[in-house]
Amino acid sequence: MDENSTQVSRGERTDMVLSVRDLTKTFAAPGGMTVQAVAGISFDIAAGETLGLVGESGCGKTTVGRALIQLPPPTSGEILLEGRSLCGLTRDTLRPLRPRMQMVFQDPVSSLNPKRTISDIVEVPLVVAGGHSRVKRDQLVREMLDAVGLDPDVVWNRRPHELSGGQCQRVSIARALILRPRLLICDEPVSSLDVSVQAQILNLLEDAKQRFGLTMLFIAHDLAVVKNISDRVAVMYLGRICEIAPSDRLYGHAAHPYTQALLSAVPEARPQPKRKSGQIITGEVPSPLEPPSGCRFRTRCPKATDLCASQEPLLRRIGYDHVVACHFASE
Amino acid sequence: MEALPLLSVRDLRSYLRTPRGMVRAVDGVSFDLHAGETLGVVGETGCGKSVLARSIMGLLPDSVLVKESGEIRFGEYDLRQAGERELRRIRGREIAMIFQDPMTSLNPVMRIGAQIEQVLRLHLGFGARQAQERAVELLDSVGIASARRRAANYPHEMSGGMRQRVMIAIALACDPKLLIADEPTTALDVTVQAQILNLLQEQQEKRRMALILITHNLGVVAGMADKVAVMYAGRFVEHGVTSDLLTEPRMPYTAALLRAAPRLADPPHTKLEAIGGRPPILIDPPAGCRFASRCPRSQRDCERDPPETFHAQSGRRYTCWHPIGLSDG
Amino acid sequence: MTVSVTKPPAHLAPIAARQWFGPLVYIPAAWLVVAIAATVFAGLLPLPDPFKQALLRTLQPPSAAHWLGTDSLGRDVFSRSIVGLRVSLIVGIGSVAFGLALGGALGLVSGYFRGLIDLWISAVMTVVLSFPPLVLAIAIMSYAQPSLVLVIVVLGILFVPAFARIARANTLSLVEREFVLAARAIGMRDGFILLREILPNLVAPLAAYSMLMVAVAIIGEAALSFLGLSVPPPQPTLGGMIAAERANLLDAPWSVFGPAGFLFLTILSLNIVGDQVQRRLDGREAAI
Repeated sequence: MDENSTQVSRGERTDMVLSVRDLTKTFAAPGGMTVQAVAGISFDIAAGETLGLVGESGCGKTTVGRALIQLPPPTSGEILLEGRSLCGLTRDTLRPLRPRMQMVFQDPVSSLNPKRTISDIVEVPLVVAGGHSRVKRDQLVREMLDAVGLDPDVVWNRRPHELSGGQCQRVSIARALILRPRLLICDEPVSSLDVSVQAQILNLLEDAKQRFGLTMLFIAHDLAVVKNISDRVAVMYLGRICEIAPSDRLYGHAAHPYTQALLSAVPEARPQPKRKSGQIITGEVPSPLEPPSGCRFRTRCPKATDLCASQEPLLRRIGYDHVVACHFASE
Repeated sequence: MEALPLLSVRDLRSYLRTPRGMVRAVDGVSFDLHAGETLGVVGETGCGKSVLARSIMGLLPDSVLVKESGEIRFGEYDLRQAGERELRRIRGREIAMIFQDPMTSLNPVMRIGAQIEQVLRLHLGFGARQAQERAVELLDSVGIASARRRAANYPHEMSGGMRQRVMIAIALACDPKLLIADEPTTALDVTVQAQILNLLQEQQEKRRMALILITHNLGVVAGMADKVAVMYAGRFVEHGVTSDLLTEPRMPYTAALLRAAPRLADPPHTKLEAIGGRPPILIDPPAGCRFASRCPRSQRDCERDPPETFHAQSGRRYTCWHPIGLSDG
Repeated sequence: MTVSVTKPPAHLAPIAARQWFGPLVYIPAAWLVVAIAATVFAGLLPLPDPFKQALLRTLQPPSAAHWLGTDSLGRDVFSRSIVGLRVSLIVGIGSVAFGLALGGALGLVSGYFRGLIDLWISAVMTVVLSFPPLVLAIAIMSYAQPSLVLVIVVLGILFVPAFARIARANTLSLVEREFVLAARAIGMRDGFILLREILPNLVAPLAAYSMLMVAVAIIGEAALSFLGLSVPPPQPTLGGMIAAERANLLDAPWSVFGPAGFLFLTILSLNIVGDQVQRRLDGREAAI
């Protein structure tokens, strides 16, 4: 499945921090079957850009994030981090590259070791990387805690269970950023937080991105959150990418029927009539063990035809920086 | 002349015992709910909305409930005075409840058909055959395809959305007058959430059932609720008709919630207005307004005196000394 | 930069110590402290010589000179019980320490690396578990030259599977947690992850279990010494004393109830305190 020719060739932007080609990840399922959680996806992220990766449960977006940091490594495909290939490397050759890409996880409390102090947690990447004196490490930790909005003196000796969810997430971000990575992968970082705390953390991520010159991959299921923080958005369904478009185009000009369904399903906090049954998408996501033939979305798509069942649509360009995988994309 | 309310709550307080002390989880909540009406209760974690739901149902265990006061009138019953036997008759039959995580609310070792039949036989005295037929009917009415075959499934064999539909079927089995839904869609995908909310609305209209929809998401109540109550630190801080409240919030907390959530219509990288600080822990709540320390409009009297609840003509209620749009400052 | 500085409020500080334990735990805890102190410092205490026989004053009831009377060879029961308790405690603590160290390490490695290592270790553990423990201990001690070290090792080996199982189960669930993934993501090596990230989280579940196992080990040693398979005489052992004075139960109950009482009180105290420790360590983990 060659999508290179139709891939986002971003013209002028050649400074790609991350390039992914035909990434697949297959898991063994009980009963000797296999599940293709990620079935061949490709995308690029340019320097200083935030790419949002959005999809519902089972679409494979979390698997993509884990595959990028090679934990576990993908089944096949190519990953280029700052031009350097990550695939097929041994653990030892991969190790020095790890500081270049770091990850922030969903559950703020379980992503921190409950038995260690905050200063310990933020310091440990420096210890592993080596090359800093104790005094220097402390100083860097203080600076980073300050940068994420925590008072170092107050949280220094505390344990994660003594902090709130939002504060734990700040610690998580501090830990991820202390090695000054080039690429920050955020895997549902605000999904388990309240709206007011979510806003704090999103603002923090934006500020950190400016301050530390980060490139971000933001994985989430909330389309409004993703749109807010991303420059471009990639929509995933059952292991494949349906559409990649700039964030502002997505709202008014989504081309893929699944994207349109997602958009109309997002509850908006403004007055609206009670029943909008016409836009409700029916059915459930098919099992990844037996994805539909051809276009995987066809079982729930109002536009599906026989062509959709027999031929899987490839990502094709429909506008500047806008690609979609659908035979009948609008526009 | 408005009909008598189906559910009438007056100054409900539920104080809970925790290892750290007595938490005033619900601290003076009052509202009326009429038949066929939907009330959305919106609040963040720890505001007391789940405790409120369980208080109404009488589901707080004695080991945890230290003090309860106030009045809960449901039809001709006084729910707070009712004995356990009477409450058990009302629960499931007149008032039903559905919860956030269907996986833990359904019995994992019992087929779902049997779980529905159980309710029918217990409350309505159905015979085995009758219950079986009715269970399949109910599964069908909540949108589960191949209902007869599905009735033999176990919960773990179904997806999250389907399990939630089963929960709704169980809740609706006895045609209750009131359904309390505690974060019913929080754990579901957004497309499934839309389906479930649609289903709830459909069933509610069909049965003329009252619905209390508890959630942290203002968007969810926007398309569902007639009235919305915003809950903060154990109290309703604003209560009114949904469309009015969303367009013209009076309580600064409501306004802050609306501004903090990112919107699809906004351009990317719109700065979100975060609310600084955190909600108070309700063991020793502050004397004045509980939102004062985080409120951009707070003044000296806010921290000193607990604000009263003001009733506007439109039926709007807010608990604030300096509401938006009505006073200066 | 517009991020807000946040402080955790004071009332999220850890719960005060007095709320951790129920009031009942102080008595058993006091017994343990006193008992351990007494056994450690037995030589310094002004007690009668536990080995000195006085054949003219056998089976004397408790008196000022002999707090728990004398046994069938005129020896002071009280001081013998203390020395016997010392053996029990050394064996109890020693064997549990041995089982904890070896079993914990095996379970940790087994749960982290999975695969063949896990298969082999689990297989060996299953084999050890298949033997009825006391029968195995009796068999080994019967054939070998009994000594303190041997008793400790034999009982210790019997504890290894239990500790391994606890360590393995906890490790399996910890490995799935995101902080372990984060550790790998920064390039931490496996050994470092085991020691730094996983091991500190195993302390709580293992510690509580250990205390209860010390009680079991003491009972095990008492059973062995009752059968004469523990540390050989003239070293007094609680089980040995009970066995020796069994015949005099009706005439001179103190000679049996002395050591039996020490045994009973110690085991009871270990169970009560161990239970409280387990409750406290479990409760501490829960978020507010």
